[in-house]
Amino acid sequence: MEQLVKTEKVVTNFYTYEGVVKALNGVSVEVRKGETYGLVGESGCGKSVTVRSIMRIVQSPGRIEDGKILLFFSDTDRNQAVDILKRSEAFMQTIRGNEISMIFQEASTSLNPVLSIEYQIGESFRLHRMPEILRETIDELQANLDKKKIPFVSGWKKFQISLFNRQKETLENYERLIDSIEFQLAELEDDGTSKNRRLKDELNRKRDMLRKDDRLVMFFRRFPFLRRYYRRINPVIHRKVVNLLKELGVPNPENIARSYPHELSGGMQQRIVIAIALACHPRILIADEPTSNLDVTIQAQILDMIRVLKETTISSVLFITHDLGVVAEICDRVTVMYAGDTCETAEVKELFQKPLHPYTKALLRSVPKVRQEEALATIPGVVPNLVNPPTGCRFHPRCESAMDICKREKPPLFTYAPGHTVSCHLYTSKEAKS
Amino acid sequence: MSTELKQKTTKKEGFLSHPAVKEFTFSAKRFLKNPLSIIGLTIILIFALIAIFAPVLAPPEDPYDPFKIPHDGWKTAPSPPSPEHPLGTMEQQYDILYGIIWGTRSAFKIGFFIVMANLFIGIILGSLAGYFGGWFDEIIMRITDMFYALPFLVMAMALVVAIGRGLQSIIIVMIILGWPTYTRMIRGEIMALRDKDFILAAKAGGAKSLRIIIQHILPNSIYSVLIVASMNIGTTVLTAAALSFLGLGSESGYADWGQMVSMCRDWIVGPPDNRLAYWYVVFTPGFVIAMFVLGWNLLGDAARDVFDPKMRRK
Amino acid sequence: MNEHILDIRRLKKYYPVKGGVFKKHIADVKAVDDLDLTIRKGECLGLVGESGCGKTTLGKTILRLHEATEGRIYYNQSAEEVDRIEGLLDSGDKTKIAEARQLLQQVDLTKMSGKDLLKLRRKIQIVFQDPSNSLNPRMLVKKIIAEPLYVQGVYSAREIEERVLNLLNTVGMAKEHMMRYPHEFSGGQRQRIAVARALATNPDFVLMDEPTSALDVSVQSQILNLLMQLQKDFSLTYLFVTHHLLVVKYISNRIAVMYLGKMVELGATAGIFKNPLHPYTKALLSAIPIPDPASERQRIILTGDVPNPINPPKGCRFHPRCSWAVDRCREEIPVLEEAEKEHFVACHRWKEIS
Repeated sequence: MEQLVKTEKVVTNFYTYEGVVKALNGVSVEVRKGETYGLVGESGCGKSVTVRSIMRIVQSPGRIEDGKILLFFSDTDRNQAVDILKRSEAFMQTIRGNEISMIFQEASTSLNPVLSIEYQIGESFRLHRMPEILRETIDELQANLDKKKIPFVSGWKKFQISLFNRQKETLENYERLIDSIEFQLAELEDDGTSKNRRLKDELNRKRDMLRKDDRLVMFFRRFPFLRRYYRRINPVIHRKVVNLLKELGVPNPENIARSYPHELSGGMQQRIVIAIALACHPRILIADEPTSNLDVTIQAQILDMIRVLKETTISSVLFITHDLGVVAEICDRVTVMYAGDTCETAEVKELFQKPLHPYTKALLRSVPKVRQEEALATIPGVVPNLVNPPTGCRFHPRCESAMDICKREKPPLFTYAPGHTVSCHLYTSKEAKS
Repeated sequence: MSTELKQKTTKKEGFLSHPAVKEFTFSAKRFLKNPLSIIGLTIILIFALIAIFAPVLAPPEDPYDPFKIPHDGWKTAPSPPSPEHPLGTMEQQYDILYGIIWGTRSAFKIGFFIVMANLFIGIILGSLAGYFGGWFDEIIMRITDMFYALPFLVMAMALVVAIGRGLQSIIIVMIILGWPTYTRMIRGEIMALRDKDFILAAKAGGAKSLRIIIQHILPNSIYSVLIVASMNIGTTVLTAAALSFLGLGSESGYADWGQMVSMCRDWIVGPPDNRLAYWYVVFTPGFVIAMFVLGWNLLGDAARDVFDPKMRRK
Repeated sequence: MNEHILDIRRLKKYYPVKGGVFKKHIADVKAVDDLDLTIRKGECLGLVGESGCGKTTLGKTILRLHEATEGRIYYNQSAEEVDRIEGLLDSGDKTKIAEARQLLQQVDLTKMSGKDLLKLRRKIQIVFQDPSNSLNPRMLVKKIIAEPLYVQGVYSAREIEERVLNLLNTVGMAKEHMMRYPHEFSGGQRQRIAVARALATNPDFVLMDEPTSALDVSVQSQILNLLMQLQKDFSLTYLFVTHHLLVVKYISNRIAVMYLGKMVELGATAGIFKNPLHPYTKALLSAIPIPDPASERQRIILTGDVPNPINPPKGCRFHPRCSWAVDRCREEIPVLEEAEKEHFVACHRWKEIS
């Protein structure tokens, strides 16, 4: 399968009062097109920091120090990668919400309490799918115009159409220019000569200078009375919002669209958040523990919805959770993380049937199963403080098969079978084999 | 399990190893790292030393009434600093230096008395209102609302006049008018804590309400109130000085900074040919009041940064 | 085994909703509504249900952290005695009812006060969900654990010190942890401290209010095993409130399922997991995410959300979400009936469904 997002040895640190928290210790993950990819681990293992690094929204004392985060978003050349750590903030803004959408654990805090659901979903459309909306508005106006012809009114209507057309053209033009600059930037990427850097800076600056709006349209939209023409797009957005809610299986979408977040239950709020994330057809949806605060029956509803959506709308999902049950339910491939390290990556069935890393094994043994006969196994000790993480393999103080080498060296990534990789000295070092 | 237990245990013998003491030294160290808190602490310490050694620094003429400022004759116009009167004299030749030194005692007295009394009333009423709620809370809160609706200074003036002028009346009136602020603050803190799990746990263990308030609620809520109180010591002195300045304080010649400024009201502006002729009569007590307020404010600010659990360990 | 430690009869807990300028009583949140439940000595009864179903309220009412609106909770009474008093109450005869009320003062824990209540507190304890909230951050571990002992006022300082040390050892901690503050510990250790505090007074009955849901997976199993060990060692009775069904399956002998303030099913753990009778239980069980990708099963996905407990649906409270609902379910409230031996269900149509 084609890769979509790939991180290579990402290191993220947090500079806190107590010292440097080494949250990510060279994390490499890879999300492919068309899969649901899971990141599992206990609290503080760095799974959230990983996706925040991918989105480049690591909060303030934190900094991405090293590594590469590659996006394979080009439609023409599947192997053409963009390293977002080398790109401007403006570039990230076009990526976030547009190509990558993210939903969080607390749906209630992601929604603005004073705006209606329709407005909030519509906002997402307005930000990311304006040309489409404008086109539909123009079509509608045109149809209206063709039906009835009243001399003076149709003149005003024609003018409206031309305004919308202008706006659409500017926007499309803007997107085309951005694309071409992106392309040039991608060409320049590789060598680090000063001439190239200068060219790159120039392109970036040019990119930031581009205008999104037409002057005439802006002029009209500033005037109190003339501005009213712009309301024409509202019914289009409303229709789109209701359609989207319908697609998501929300009962009674018209009513829900009119309501405010506090009137909805937790499960419904989470569905609205997903609707907002989907409004612009992202290539990848990042879900950060979206069901951890919900009840089991509601969780089942949401998981079911994400599963259906993955087949129909979104191509890939990056799913973060601490619940191994949820992983087994929804993911195709999984990476287990521990204290900022990736332990093991495998297909979900393979991982549950044949765990290789001692941490994965212990983790699987310590959750209650449906047919749980014997006592639950435990992992001794606690998750280490990442200001002073253990040397070598970060799991070694709690590992039952720890060896001398584990204290000294960080284990390399070892491909045990195609698609099944593990970082553990048990499979690579001479000590273990002898 | 075993690694869980193998956390570092540093064993220091005796008093210093008690965790409460360790917490305190930890906080104190952070407190002393902050330059502002050191400035505040120095100012307050200087004032405290002046207050303690007042009889040495300025021996009173009448040991039974040391707060009476001695004066050299009855000449009306203030005289500038001289070897005899290092900071000059006020109207009727009252010695400014003596007034400042003994005024420090008055300032501490005013500040501590009023704030302590307010805190005391506030803690009792606020705890009861916040913890039990119901009609008691309702009554207390409506009374505090009433106090908030009245302009403080006007009320204070009216009450002082009603009781009779003097420093004592000022203290009494400011206690009467000051407690609602503290009551509200403590009530708010307690309401936030009242339904916490550890309070429920104590209840489930059979603890009585009084024990819960004293053992569980107050230790978790009192710090922010104490910090505000320490900042208020300065402003309280300032307000008392304002009342004194308005002529509601003690009789002239009493060593109180506000009273001193009040006495010099007529000498703020000098004669037409030299407007600043008597600068020392207002500047000196005014400067001392300002320093006193500043000291407490800096101290309170620094203490909040150090002791506030939200700012801590981040 | 068959002695009852708690006998809950027709328990109601309503929270008044007040509104308007004069704080008029408008409606009630019916958190627990007409609930019967017996808890046997030495068992671990799992209480499951979704948020808002009243499981936490039930627990807190048993502990007298909230006062019951109506109903009786008999503490440590034989079944005959309970039936006798209930009989007197139901007789309709005024003198008999008065007699029953007299008796209730002694045996009904919702009516105890003063010394009796203090004694009861010794026997009934609680472990909360989140140990970072349930331990006073400004108290030393030693004082936290010792508090219930102090409060009882019957132990000397020496005894208390010894007992605290003992308790710490029982929950797998050491002497040096005594003189520390809670924030110096990890989540799992804090929960151990909370367990030690609950055990301080040698209770018979401990309410476990989601004791593992704030903990990480690897720590969760440590605590679960510890709790099971303690139950065996001190012959405790647990009421284990949780929404995590696999945890309940692991730890409890019997399971009670609640929905919107009502008991819908009650039975032995194995029986409920093998053969759930109530449609809600079926849906609940099928919704558990099972940590085994190879397992294939039929999912029942419920539509809609839990209704508002201020205005619960008429009849069976589950009917708006139930795919088997008929007219009878909309009108008549089903009662708990014994479907199989020791397996109770409150549904009109359980025979047809299963």
